Amino acid sequence: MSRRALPLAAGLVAALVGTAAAHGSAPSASLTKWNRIDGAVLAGSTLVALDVETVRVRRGNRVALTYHSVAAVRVGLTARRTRFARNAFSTAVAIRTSIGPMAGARLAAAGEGDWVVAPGGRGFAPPVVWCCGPGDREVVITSDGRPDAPVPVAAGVDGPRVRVLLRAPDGATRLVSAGPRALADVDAPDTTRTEAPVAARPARGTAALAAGVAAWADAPASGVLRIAVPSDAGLGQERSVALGGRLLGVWADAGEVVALIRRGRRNEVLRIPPGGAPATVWRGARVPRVALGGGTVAVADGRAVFAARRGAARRVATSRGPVAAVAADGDRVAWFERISRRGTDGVGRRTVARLARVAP
Amino acid sequence: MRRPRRWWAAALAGVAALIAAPAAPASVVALQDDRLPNHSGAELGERLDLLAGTGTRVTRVDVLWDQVAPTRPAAPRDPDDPAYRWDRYDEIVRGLQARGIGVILSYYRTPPWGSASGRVQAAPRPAEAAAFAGAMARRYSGRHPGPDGRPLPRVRRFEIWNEPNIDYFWSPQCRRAANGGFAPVAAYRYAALASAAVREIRRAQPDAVVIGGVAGPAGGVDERRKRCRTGTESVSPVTMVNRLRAERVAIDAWSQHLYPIGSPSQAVFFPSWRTLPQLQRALDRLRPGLPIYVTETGYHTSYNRFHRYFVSERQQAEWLEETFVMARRNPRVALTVWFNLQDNPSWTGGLLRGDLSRKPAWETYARLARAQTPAAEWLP
Repeated sequence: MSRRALPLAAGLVAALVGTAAAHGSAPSASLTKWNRIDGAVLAGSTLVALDVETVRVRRGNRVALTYHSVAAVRVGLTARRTRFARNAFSTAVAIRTSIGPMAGARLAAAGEGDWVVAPGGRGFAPPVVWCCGPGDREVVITSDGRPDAPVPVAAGVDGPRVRVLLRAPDGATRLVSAGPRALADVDAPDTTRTEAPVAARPARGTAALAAGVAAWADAPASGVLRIAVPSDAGLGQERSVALGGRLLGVWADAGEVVALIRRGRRNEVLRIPPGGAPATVWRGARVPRVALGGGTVAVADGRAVFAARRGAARRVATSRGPVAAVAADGDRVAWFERISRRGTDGVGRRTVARLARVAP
Repeated sequence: MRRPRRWWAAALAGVAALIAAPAAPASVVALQDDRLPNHSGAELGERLDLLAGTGTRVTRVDVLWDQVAPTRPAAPRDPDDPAYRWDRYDEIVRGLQARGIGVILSYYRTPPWGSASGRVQAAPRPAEAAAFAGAMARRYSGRHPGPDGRPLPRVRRFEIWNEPNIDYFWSPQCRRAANGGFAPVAAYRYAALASAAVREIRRAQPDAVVIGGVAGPAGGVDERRKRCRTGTESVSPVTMVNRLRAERVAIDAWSQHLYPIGSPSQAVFFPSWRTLPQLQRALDRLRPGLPIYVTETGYHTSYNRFHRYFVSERQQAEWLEETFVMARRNPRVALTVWFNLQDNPSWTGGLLRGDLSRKPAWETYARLARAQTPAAEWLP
């Protein structure tokens, strides 16, 4: 082989190896419907999303049966997290009930790849489920069917502990801490489980828990966010942060908090670092989709996907359809876009997940 | 304002129609307490009183083969083989008899010495599992003396295994066929077990009622397009029936477990109360008019990973009543067992919560159980 041919051959081999490595991977992953996506997280090398649906089973033209479902669906990413390992999602946890809709579900992840799902629900206490233990099996953290059962208002992963804020009908709130990761058998009792009463009175939808941080508002649409450090003993180092507007939503990850507020006629996404003051990441007229992970804030406004590892958010991608949910983890952002195509048998609808890199 | 009124009127009419259904041969109302084998002595007595307190007259008891026979018996058909440890079940059967409660014995869980994988779910060798069924039928034939010399009570009804169409109780379920499809190996092996167990039980008690299938609510109805990827994909109850027919297994009743999504009258998935006729058609080819025992049914009142569907406690009480109405309306259903008496973290379909407080369904069940008088053949 000549000296000129050698680099050419090496390049060819490298290209073939690269092709082989990417074999079976895909630039996008699809869900076959347009169900509500209540949240998404990048948990290690997995993208997880909550597919929320009211299922109407038909017999002929008649609805024979209605029930409500929250499914945590997931798809793996390739080693470099640039593509999806497959082009479709699989269901990891499915929660179904005939009591009522479970919209308003929340999903929280840790960098180790595990995650916790807390469905919404009015008039009943939905379960909190952690995934996944040995054999890829889930662990039920709380599940209480009594009519007066305390309702989970926030759940998150804090190192080896899963924490849940439970609020009773009389307002009394407890912080439940469990250690599902240490369970050799997912059906064995968790001997490390603790419950501590806390003074917080968080409203559902405005509370978040994560590693080293709990954030909540004591009333819906409050202008003040409470931030504390959770532990098995309860909540400590509490402080109040004035938001300058009405709180619409809150997310937490690794000591940081992101708040979505309404200020005047505009919406703002604020980043609140540990012990620091709020800084505006994004502002706009519409209520955006928001996520926080690995220090990155992701915001989707219509078809525009923004992300910020520090400072103001910059556009990282433009979606082909309206964005239903976003997820972020350090240098990666993922989003779910609604795609509809008119075919011979009507309009085909899909929800497609895509990935983009976030510049440092 | 008119629309809701019409809706209510229709709903009331529907409920009235259900209640006023033509009187069919009553399906026996029964209840299981899966914790019975965990207790002995005074604790077992309290547990039996709790069960009897519901007014139940018929129950089902799980006989855990791996616990009765922790070591291989030298004479497996002989209930007095020193390897067998029946003491707990002797106590349960006597305790039930003393309370006037009839019993169905259901056995499963492969002992380590009979398990290819060492797991209790491993498909048993049919001859070994059938010999154990024979020993059980001999011990509870009404003629066999207990350790104190007094004859042990008679049990007439024996169930062969529990949910052999689900990987959690029988493994493997399937093998990949040559064309990449689905070979339901669980159905083949179960048919061999059922055939041998029927022979062994009849040898011990010629007039025993042998209940086969005991099929879990999984597998769907059509397996033509199914693929076996991991070996754990469930086998359809219809496939199980067809294998028993091919082997000409002479069971006396088919047991089917039903855990519907939606109310008993709404649920449309297979198997459920409304889709039982599909199963009945298959059963008629095995033996025309073969009775159906629904030896497990229920609704969970909170989420658990074994049953991902849950309802409110109020719905559970309403749907418990509807369950027994649906059973009564189907003349093929001879027995319906509500599973379970009490909640535990893995199973939340109890009439009692984990702390033993009563759910609304307890009152409903107790009313239905006390209103029935099962035929003498069901009672001890």
